[in-house]
Amino acid sequence: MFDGVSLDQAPPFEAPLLFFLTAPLFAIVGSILLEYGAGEFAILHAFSIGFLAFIMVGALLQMLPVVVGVKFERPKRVALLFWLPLVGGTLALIATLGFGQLSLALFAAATLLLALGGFALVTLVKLFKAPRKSDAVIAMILALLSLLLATLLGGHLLAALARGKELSLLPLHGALAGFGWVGLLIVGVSYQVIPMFYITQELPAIVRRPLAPAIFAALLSYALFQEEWLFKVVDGLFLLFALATFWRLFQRKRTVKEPTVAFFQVAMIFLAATALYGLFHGHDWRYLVAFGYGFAMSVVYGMLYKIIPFLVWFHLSSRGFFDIPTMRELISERLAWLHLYIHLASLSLLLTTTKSAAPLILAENLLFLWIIKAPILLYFRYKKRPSPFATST
Amino acid sequence: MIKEFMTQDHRDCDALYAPLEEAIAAQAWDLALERFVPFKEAMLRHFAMEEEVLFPKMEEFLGGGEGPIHVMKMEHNQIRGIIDALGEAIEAKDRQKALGYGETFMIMTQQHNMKEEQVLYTMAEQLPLDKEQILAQMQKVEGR
Ligand code: HEM
Ligand SMILES: [Fe+2]
Ligand SMILES: [Fe+2]
Repeated sequence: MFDGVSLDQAPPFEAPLLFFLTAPLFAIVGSILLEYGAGEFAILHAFSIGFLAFIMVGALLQMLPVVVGVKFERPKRVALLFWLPLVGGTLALIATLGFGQLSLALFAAATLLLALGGFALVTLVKLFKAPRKSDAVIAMILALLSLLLATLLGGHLLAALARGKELSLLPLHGALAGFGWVGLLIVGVSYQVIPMFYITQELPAIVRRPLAPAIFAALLSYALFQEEWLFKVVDGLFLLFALATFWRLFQRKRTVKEPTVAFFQVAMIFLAATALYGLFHGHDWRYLVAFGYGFAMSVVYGMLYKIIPFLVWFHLSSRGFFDIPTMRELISERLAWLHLYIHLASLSLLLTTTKSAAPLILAENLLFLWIIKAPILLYFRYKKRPSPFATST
Repeated sequence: MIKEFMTQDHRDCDALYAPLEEAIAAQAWDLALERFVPFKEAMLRHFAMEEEVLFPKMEEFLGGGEGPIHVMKMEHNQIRGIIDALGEAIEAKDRQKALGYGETFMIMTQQHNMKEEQVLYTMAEQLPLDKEQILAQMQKVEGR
């Protein structure tokens, strides 16, 4: 009756970690491309695939076994199998879009299709088998469907580029990738992690239940009919999500001040601002920056500053080590606050003079790597030691 | 029915933790200790309801061994360990340690609860168990 359901402890830390560590490296690549004025689409994808998609694939590999009890066999190998073509494909896409290397276009299309399309398909199949589909899981399913469509459209765009044909369906690809995949996935993940990190109530059911399907439906109708007002419906729905989530965070039961909740609050403020900008102004590059860097990347940093120390602690204590530092001692709170301020500064430069943000983006991601260095090194140091369980039994 | 009851009990335990954390952050140590006692009691009682009533009944159908229930029990042990360490840190009036164990406790417990709410209690509802009897027995369990 419960085939395929496991409550296994989380997958090995190495699997998500590989993705979590690659992401800031691509953000650094993005900042260098920005500094040297490479093509805007190359920069965009260094962040959208190189940073965001890497984090999200890693987070899903980590979260799905825990949340829905579906697991990947041989998680480390599966992780590597997606990671390799994803790295190759992202680099090739950057070369294609930024440096006119059209000979790499088809290689980029094939590898990204393999990595992202393959990941989306495999995960969708697993999610459909989940014993119960919570609203969070439904949002994740719709996000993965969007990823699948966006990747297919991306491949179509690359094929057109390679053959020197005119690009069609460009806005559709952007909308599905940005607001379907990135947006809906964050909706789903927020449903899941915000109540558990900060002890908030879930969003009211009349918002929570229809939100993700409504966003997805509006995006698809926009795709079909290309009517601008349909995109404004998407804006309106994200505005609702941002305000409701912000309100829940405001009412949270855990009132101790710490940086991760501030990252989430900043994210929701930027999402609300993005949506208002889209509603009353339009969908230009500023809109993209505010959504991607202000909303999505803020969520990611806030989430990782919780997840990484927790996973380190969890894996080590499951192996019987109890003399390890606690989660709060693993991440320097002072430096995480500093990161938040640099993040806000890079954002304001990105939105105004754009190019001058490059050094700050670089600094921000180096700082991020520095902050997560301590828990990761601790993990590998302890991993080498024999488990106390093994010696006592 | 079991699912609703146990999920509510999870929320009730959360509600006892949040003010405890506030007292620790404010270094109000007497208050923290005062809030720690009922919090610990509620957690241990919840674990006892599962380990003494619900899980054995489920194991009659699912079998024991290395399955999901075994994993849940192992996590209970991890969580008990953190609660004890938290208590010691409060007695030692060590703010940093106490907040650290508190944070660890919280996330560990939340992900544990999530697995139970989304998977294990759902299983319990679907198994042919005498739910009313289980509920009545669980309500009789004493904390220690
Ligand atoms: C996964 C996250 C992704 C996001 C958030 C994203 C976002 C975007 C956006 C916003 C645009 C600009 C659309 C417009 O101007 O209206 C774009 C263009 C493009 N994307 Fe993506 N994309 C993603 C993944 C991909 C993938 C996987 C591929 C390839 C398989 C791809 C290939 C392209 C191409 C070829 C263009 C057109 C560039 C040009 O006009 O020169 N993208 N993308
Ligand atoms: Fe439990
Ligand atoms: Fe429980």
